[in-house]
Amino acid sequence: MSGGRSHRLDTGGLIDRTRPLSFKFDGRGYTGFAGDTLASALLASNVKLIGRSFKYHRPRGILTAGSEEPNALLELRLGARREPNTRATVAELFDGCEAYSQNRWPSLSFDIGAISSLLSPLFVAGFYYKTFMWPRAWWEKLYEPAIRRAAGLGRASNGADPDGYEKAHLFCDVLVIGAGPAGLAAALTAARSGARVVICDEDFLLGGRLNSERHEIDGVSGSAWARQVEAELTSMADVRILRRTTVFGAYDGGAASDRTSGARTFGALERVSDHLPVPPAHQPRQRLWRIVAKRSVLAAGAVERPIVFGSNDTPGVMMASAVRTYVNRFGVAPGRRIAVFTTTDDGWKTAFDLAKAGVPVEAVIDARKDVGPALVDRFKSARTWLGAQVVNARGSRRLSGITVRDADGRLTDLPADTLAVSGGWNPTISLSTHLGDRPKWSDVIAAFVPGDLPRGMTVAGAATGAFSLSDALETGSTAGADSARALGLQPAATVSWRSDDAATGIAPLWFVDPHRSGGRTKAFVDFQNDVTAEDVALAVREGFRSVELLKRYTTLGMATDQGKTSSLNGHAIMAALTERAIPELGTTTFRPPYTPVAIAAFAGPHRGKQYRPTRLTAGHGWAVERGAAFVEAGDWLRAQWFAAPGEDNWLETVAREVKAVRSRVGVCDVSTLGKIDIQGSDAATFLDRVYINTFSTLAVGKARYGLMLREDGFVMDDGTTARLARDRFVMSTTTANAARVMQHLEHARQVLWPELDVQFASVTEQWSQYSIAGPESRHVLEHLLQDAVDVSNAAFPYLACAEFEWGGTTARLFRISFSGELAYELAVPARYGDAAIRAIMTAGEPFGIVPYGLEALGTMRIEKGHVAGNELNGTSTAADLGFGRMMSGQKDFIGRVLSQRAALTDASRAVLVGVKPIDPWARLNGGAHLLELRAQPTLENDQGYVTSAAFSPTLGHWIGLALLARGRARIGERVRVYDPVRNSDLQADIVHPVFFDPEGTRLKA
Amino acid sequence: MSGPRISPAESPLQSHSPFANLPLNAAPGRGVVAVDRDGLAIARIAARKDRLAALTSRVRERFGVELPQGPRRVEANGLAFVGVGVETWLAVAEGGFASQRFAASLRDAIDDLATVSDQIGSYAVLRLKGPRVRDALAKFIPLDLHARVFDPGSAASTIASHIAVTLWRLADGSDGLPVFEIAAPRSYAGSFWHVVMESAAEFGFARE
Repeated sequence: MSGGRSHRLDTGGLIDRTRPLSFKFDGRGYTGFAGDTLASALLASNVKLIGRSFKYHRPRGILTAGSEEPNALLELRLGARREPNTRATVAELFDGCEAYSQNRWPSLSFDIGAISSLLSPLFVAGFYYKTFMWPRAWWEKLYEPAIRRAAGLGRASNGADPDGYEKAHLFCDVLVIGAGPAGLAAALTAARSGARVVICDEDFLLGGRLNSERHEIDGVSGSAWARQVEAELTSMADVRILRRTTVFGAYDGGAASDRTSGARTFGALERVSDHLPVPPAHQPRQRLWRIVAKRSVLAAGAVERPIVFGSNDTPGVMMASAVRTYVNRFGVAPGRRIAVFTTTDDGWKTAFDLAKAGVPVEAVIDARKDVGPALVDRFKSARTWLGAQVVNARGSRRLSGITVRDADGRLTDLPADTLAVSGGWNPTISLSTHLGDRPKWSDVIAAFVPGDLPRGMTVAGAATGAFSLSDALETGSTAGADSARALGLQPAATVSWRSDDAATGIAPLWFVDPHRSGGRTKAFVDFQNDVTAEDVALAVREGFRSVELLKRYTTLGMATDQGKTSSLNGHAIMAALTERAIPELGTTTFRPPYTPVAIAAFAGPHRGKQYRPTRLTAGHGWAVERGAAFVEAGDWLRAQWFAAPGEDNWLETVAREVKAVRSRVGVCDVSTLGKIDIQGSDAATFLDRVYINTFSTLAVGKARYGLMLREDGFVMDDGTTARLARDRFVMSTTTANAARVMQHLEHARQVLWPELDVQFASVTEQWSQYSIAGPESRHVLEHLLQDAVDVSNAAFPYLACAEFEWGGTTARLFRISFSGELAYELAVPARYGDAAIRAIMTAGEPFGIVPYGLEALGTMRIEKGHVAGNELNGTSTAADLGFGRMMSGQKDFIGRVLSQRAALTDASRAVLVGVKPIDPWARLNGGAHLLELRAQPTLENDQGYVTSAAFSPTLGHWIGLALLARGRARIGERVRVYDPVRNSDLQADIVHPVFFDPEGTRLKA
Repeated sequence: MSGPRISPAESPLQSHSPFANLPLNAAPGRGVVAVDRDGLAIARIAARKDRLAALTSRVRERFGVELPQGPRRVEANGLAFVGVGVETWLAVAEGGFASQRFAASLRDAIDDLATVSDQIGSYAVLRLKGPRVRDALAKFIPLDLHARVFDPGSAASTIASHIAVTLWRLADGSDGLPVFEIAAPRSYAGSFWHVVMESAAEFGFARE
């Protein structure tokens, strides 16, 4: 695989020969230079065999010098940083770089999988669909494991990615996509006109083909000109240059204010640290940019296309333009005996450049009979074949020669270690079609060019299908000026640069059938997915006529390269076989991303604990100090319980917390409940319309439980609302529904009753609120609040509320209870939430106060039969939950009419009941289904389910709430409680849902 | 009553900054500098129905400020009004205005014309400045903050890395560099701080 001799030319190239870099490929050490790609460094080291192909495990080398590369895919880096399918042609060389070939075993040069080439009749087009139809049982045991082992494109690391990824936003007047001659000219003209410009290029060096060709502009080399433009752009304040950045997709929408101006959003991936061994501290590996641009200039250039002929995948067969890139930009001769096979004038440039670099050219084979004398006369040193074709490439692991069929049909074998192929250029139009616009066919260049364009986009340079340098500079500069003009800027004068120009003639040649010359070799259309010309022919024989179906049937163009070098060739072969013109077939749809984007880049920083933001109450730090266990409730973290030393079972902890509240006093952080400040002269009227019960009759200084319905008549949410002043209320919602209720109220205010004078604001964040519950709670508050407020039963009865000054701030007190005990909720501004909980604990210490968490809270509310999120499940009505009589008949309210629907008032509906297992030690599970005692567990026999269950420390057994069909009439009935998920099947009695203190004497104590 | 007596009247509750005790892990330097604005007094104001004109003139008369229409911030004598919605503002006070009674004193001045909601505990506010502040903001604020587009006095309510925030641009600092303030919901302070720190880390990040 390695010839030992360096293929580096003595001079030339845009590499830094003073900075050698060592790297390893398949464990063997090599040296390259700063400015190399992995591909150019491997070629300089005379490494031609890079990997094995996907399906047939055929030896593959380097085909291109760009992001369209289908063959030279490597695993880059080691350990958790290993990246499969890295294109060697765009991987920037760094010191210590390690790469491995993929898809081979035991070694790259001897690969057992290559025998699948012998089985290739099995692997023809549509083999997925054909092979695995019979017999079904073979699929899991035989086919899938075999295919998984044989196929695939490299191995994932299976480790967590140790590097970071970022997302960022960028706004500009003009986004220039591509920094070749057209893009640079566009960016410069737009920027000189005063536009805010962003210019992106996937390469690490700006200039595009200028770095690969021997162009001159205004008397300097093309690459020197690119540096000059780059320097001017860099000096301008409103220009942003993004190197190593691929604009991978065009999307709808920009800033709202730009909707009429044609602003578009583009996705771009910046490879911030891919050219470094590891990202520097605080730098991401990659950054995903969302770029909003008022105008865009697509200057993405063009991709040279291969010609399909026998064994055209042999390592050493390269694109002619790539050969020029390696010679001119990297100072590397890809071979010692190079032949050129072309059907374009452009291909001849490769021969000229090789000659200038002193690399011998074996032959130029041009499929065209008529080639301009400017080309033929200039090139007399090699054998030129006009009207001839390469029918076959020879050599197993690297090219050794080619078979040429001359204009008279005679076959001649020529020796060659490299074949430069030029089949014409396909403009890179992908981004012009992402928003649904279709390209159009150009006979002049035999390729698709941009058709209709997304609003705001212009195309410049080779992407338009005009391939000369002067075309690129002129269309670029014009596009820059036009963009500036469209933005209302006075465009800077378009610049005319003096440049050389080359002929760009082409006569398309898609396919040289080796079988017509007696050969039996494969001719590859899609290198990465191993799709051959014969596969296309087979698909046609089997009746496929659409390019979209051809794609899916043969997998043509479906690899990670998305068919950049293959799709059009495949379509052209199909067109010839079905005797249609290519534009009649159309083309497959280009979709984002243009080149692969790591999923990690889309996730950005949102991974692990940062997957979504976390909300913490002001008392969180205190709860952590107390050893609380936390549970997620939406974004919130809530204390679940506070284990005491020696407690090793959470049920034990919760039982202790419940008993402490029922016998003494406990405190619970209830700050996460939604709180909405509702004010205005019509505030009471507004509340009457959103709640089923009446609030206009509520006295100032009192609170009331309220239930609200959705428009469709089902229960939306519940909570208490307190009246602080005649025109001022504060509503509480459940934690889960806080945002939804706010939206609901806003809709009611803005859309339903804009005539009402009512305003509201979420004050969930404003108040830290603590529930102090238990027989001793009044004593705790007396000590805590002292003279700030009178909490005696006479002055502050059940459902009283007050706002007062305490501890240097405003505080609120509500006598409300979820636990069924004498209880209060004390609210202070959140900045004092930490201080308040500490003060409560200090004041409560003499009374044995304990902090309690969500589980104890939940247990006590089940004991009291209070409904919560489990029962407010979106399918329950007020009547189902026992609030039927709360629905006022004296007024209208949201959901009233639809709550009277027959289905919602059906007597057989499942309604709230209590469930008590016969066996006091039997554990009840939420979600268990309720059946009649001897009923079979079938869907038809299902009568409801347990919504909430808990072990009641107060009663000494498990209890549950359930929604049971005709439940209220079935109190006292015994039912089967069936839970196949947790293998539980027991009997229970249906009871009243209030298990504890049904008279409510404790909370009014 | 039994048990020990404590007297909160004599020992007022201690205020606690939402950004207290959060870690700082970033490159050294002052590319971006964060200032904890704990201590601002904030209230939300919404005009009562059909009272916008009267409210505007009352505010002009009492506070010497022209209530902004749209997402702008105006300020006089340590009291600022930030437009956050239709006929809705955040009133942000510092210095002498920023007492515990800020909302109550606003209510005294405009109660008949506007709803005043005390939000003194609702927000975690960071001031962000430094030569690289816009580069850091670009990572979590999905808005165009270019000097010409988002000039001093501009304000916006938006989503920053899944957190609803309101931000505004103050007058440039004496160094000529832009200064922004961002108000995040207080409960999100830890996550918000993490977002700011990670975004600024590469530029050098300091806390003042």
